[in-house]
Amino acid sequence: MLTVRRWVPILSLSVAILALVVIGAWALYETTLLTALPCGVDEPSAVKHFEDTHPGDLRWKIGVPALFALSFLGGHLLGYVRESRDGPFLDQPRGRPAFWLQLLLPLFLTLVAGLIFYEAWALADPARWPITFYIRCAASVAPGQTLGAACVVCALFGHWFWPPLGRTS
Amino acid sequence: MRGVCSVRALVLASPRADIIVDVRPALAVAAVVVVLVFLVVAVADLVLEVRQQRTLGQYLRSWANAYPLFAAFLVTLLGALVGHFFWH
Repeated sequence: MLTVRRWVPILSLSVAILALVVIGAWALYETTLLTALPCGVDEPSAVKHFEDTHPGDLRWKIGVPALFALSFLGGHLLGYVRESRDGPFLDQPRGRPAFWLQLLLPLFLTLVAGLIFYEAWALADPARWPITFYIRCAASVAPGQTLGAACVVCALFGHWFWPPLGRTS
Repeated sequence: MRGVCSVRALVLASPRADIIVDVRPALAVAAVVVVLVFLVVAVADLVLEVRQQRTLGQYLRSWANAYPLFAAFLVTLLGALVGHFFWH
């Protein structure tokens, strides 16, 4: 039966997935249409921040981190909804996690380490753009979409890595 | 050294049209990598939720409960990265 405790997580995850799909597809589509460097050709214009596009506007400086924090908190609170219901799958005894999970976590951490390694490598090699520049460029060209994707990621992190106290087996 | 002579800027400032060809795939890869990783995990979580099986979120939250310092480190890393990207 589709109770509130069940449809809230389904709806939340569906919205997050839809947002990621739409933003990812949009980014790919817009990238194929590029005929010039979207952030200018010099380094300072390529590393602009949100607030640089709105100088003196404190809403960006305060609103953006507040939005990320709220997304993170929202993801955490969603965990309470998901863990509050009863179900046969919650009664599984503690034990070793599934093999695919044991594989997924190291893969995820390896990917993160790889991205950070590339970042360091690109900073040392002037011919390359570090990932930071791409994200800041995206934030400058399309602040709404970039902000949306970052909020979804923050919410997912808050949901997955900040568990409700004493709820999860 | 960047403030003295930005070689990266010189490369990007080149009027050669093929510079765009160099940057465009990287932009696409950056967008796909960042979005796809979270997309795959979220879809897996949703599928398990709909099938009423033990969800990926539950596995991850169990892991975070078992290893709170690792989880805190990951979250701190995310916060540092987000702050680095969007805030100064």
